[in-house]
Amino acid sequence: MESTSKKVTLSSSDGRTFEVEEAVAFQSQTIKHLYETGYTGDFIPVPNVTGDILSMVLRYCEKHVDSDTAAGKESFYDNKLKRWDALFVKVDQSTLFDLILAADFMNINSLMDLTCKTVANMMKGKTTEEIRGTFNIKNDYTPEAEEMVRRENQWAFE
Amino acid sequence: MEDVDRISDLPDSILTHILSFLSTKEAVGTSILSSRWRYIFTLVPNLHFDLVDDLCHKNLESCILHIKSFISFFDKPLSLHETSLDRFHLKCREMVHGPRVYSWISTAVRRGVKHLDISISPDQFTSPGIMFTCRSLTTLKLDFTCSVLDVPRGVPFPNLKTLHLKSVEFLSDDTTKCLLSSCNNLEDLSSCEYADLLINVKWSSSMDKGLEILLSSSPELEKLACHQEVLSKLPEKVAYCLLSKLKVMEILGFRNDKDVIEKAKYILKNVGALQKLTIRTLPNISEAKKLKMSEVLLGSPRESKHCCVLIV
Repeated sequence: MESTSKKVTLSSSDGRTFEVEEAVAFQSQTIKHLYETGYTGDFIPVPNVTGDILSMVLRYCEKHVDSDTAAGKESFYDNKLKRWDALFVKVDQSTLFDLILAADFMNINSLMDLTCKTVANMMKGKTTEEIRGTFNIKNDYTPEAEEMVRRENQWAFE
Repeated sequence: MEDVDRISDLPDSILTHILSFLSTKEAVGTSILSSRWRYIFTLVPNLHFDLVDDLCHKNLESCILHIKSFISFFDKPLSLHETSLDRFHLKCREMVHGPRVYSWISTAVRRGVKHLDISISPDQFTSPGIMFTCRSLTTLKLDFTCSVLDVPRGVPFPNLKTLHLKSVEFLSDDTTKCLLSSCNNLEDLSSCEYADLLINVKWSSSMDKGLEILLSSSPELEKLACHQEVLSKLPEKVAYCLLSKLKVMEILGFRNDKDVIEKAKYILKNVGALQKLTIRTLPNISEAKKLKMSEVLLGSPRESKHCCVLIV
């Protein structure tokens, strides 16, 4: 890694600022693209993300920058990182969805995969009622409509 | 606060991404949650079917019903949706007839599938040649018990990076050569029964050349798993110069033959990018022998400082 790395400053929707190394911020394809197309401002506004969430996202990016520079993916760093990731997404649902929206907006592929996979795991092996309960999804089908959908995709409900 | 339904407010693209981590059966199952979810599953670019898993707790009668409704369901999304397909994973053993599987694979190829992972064993099934005209393919994993693999001549696989073959029988000698010499960008190759497979097709005259052909046509290879017999047939100096990018290597069915130990030492000494060498011994190799082997290998000179050696 370079010894004199450039820093960039990000500012969240609630006006908090975060100074991080360029390599950390560039884990976000959105920010990387901004710079590559000639952005020269003092700081980068991240209007859709609150300070609390942005600080989590940057913590994730910092961790992954370190690991990307450490040996290859097959090494034991990879297992260590996976354990770190698993702990990172042990958060309440509201935070998890905020992280997903931030990862989507900032275009951070690995964080997007990690968070979406976590939500998918919360659905796995559950009945329809259990999934509705987990995410507070209101069933707005009429009994007839529900029966129709069920028949349409019968194979999936056996 | 926790009573709010936040998931249903997410945009389609994110919900699709979430569902892409579920099996197709589970993804289709979400259509019943609420009207918001009715058609989200149709946007998922992956099809993941594991009939073996679905049926493991069912009796014969309900198995037959299940397969029937699966087939009629499956014919629909594959042929109706014209969106591009990213992944197609199908595990159905002998439960679906050959011609039908043939047409499913063809449709997946037409939809530009990138990752194909097929585990089947219908009677007398010959893989569709069209599979090998699929320029979009980057991953191909085949487990083809009782099926024969046919590779048309001269078809390049420009994007194929990962090739895993299990229980695959090639139609002819030419087929093997066609496949091995057409993958120029291969990074990960594993073939459990590679040696058996070559013997199966009576390719004995050029068997020595099998791995060589592959290595010389795949300079990007990073991961390689092969049977010790394949390795022992390899002439040292010629082929190993091609292994400059190899990072992970696995030797299967290790019998502690002297020449294979020498080969392993040669690899350690010469492959600079190597990070992990795994040697899987046969069950009859005692712990004491393994220990001795590891002493020999750990004591031998190593080009790569980061390489770890695992003997199991």
